[in-house]
Amino acid sequence: MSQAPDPYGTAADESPSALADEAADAQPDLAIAEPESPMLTERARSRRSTAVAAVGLGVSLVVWGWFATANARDGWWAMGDHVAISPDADGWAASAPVTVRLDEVTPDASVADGSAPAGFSYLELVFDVGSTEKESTVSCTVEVLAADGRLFLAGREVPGLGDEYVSELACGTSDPVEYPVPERQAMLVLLPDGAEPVSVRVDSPAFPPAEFIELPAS
Amino acid sequence: MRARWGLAAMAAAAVLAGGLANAADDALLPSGWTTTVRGAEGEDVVVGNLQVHVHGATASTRVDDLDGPLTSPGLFVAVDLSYATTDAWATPEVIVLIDGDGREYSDPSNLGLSGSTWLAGPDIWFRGDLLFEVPADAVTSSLTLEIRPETAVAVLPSTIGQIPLTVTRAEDPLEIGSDTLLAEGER
Amino acid sequence: MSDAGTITAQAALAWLVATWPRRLVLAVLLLVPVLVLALGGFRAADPPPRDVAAGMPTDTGAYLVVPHSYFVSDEIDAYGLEDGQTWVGVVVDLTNQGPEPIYLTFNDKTFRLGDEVAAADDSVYEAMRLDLGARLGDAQPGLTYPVALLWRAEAMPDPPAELTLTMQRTVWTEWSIEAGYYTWNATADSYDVGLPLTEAPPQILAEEDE
Repeated sequence: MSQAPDPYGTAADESPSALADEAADAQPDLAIAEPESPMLTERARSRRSTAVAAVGLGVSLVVWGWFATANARDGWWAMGDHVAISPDADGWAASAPVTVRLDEVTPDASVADGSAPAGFSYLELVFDVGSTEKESTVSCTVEVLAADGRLFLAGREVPGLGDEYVSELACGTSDPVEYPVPERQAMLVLLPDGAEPVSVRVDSPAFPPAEFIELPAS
Repeated sequence: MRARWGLAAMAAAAVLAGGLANAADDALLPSGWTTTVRGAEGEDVVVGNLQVHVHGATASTRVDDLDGPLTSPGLFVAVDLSYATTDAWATPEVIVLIDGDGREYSDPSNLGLSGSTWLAGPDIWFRGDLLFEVPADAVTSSLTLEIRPETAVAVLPSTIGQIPLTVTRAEDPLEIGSDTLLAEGER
Repeated sequence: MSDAGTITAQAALAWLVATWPRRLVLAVLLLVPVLVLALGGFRAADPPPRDVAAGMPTDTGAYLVVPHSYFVSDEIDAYGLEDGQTWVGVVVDLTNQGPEPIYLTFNDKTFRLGDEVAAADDSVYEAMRLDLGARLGDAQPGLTYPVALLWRAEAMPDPPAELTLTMQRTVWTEWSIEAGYYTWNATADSYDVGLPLTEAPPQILAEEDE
């Protein structure tokens, strides 16, 4: 007669042979008594919860990373040029407080003050400029983007500054009566031979962060 | 028992990973992200977005000023060089002298003279002088020009250039002019 | 297994935390060193400043300093003086002993004036080279400059015959936040020197309008 297996044995019958008999009796019962499904379900459940925990960890790391880098991302966005404002059908582009239009583009412009150094030429740009800024002086920098990606600053190392040409666009004035923003402003750009202008970029600290105006050069 | 070994192994791995991260942070980040370009006088050297051509250097106890020569307790060193950028108009942030003992010398710009860095354009070269003031014993050891186009931030890659200088000793006061535009192909 | 009643560490600990009053006392006792630490009670006491005589070369870490004299003037060719203020200047020979230039007027930790003068700022406001009559800017390593260190102070119609200059010792320390960067940090050691009153050096006086 086999009793239910008692792992701790009983004081009454601890002789090795009696224990062996009990063990032998116990094995077939164990084999039948423990079906496979409860063990597998346990392992599968454990694996699933590990997977959920891992995914949860990953998601929370991403969320934390998003918040932790908020300052850096804002700074990167504001300091760079990321949003190009294009002109409308009439050629006017606007970024508050300025509206600007590229009226004339003249490569290899000849200048009264003398010619460009060997290996260089002057590109002449004539702009129509309007501004709603009447309380403070605002300037716009102008750069020419070449086909190979180089950016050339207008108004540097060029003649005629202060006369027919400006080194920066006047984009706002603190005294609209004495010093109004001229409606027509001309600039020269020093270009090395081989530079092909693709577009003209106008930018100012007064523009919203990351915005700049891009006017096609053709 | 197996569970305990597993826990111990994970704890050891965590400690190891932490230690490695610490070591990497200490040792690699400030220097491992900087690429050093070594160049020589008389040739075009590209350092980041800057192209540099160093002609030479002159040292003298005196430098010329509007009101007459100024005399240094050490030596004035004028470095004759030209540079252009590769992509857009920019001024290199830092150019310093390093001597044989690793001491660093910067621009004594409060003297009201030219001799500081200037703006240059993409393939638009300018030539000028950079002025430094050093103790007399720094010149007898080797002097190297170190160029840092952009100040290094520890977590971003950066490039610096090092160009050893040949220094000529002069008796007359140094003349420091402002930078001038070079024609195509000139250095 | 120990005998019943033996005083083991386990038994002692059990006795200590057995009742609430004992737990409270234990907690307070454990907190005392933490409180003392938080209130700064464990710092070593600052050593007293060492006295040096004017004219003695003094190694302060960042600089080798030979202090000479002091002066009071409102006619110095330097900017920043406000109404009711005068310049108090200290004449020294200065050598940067470190490996990098030091911009002396930014975050200087070395030079401080004594209480005889009501200085507007603790640290040096401007530094003038007496050899060239120009601002010092960066002090280059290894160069010995004759300089006048300037502080802004309340106007002093009757300046004292002697002024105490305190020079704090500094050490070249690596940043704890970012490896690879170094700066001069003040230590607890300092030197006191008594400086006699003299005339302002003529090389740095503003030129009179003609």
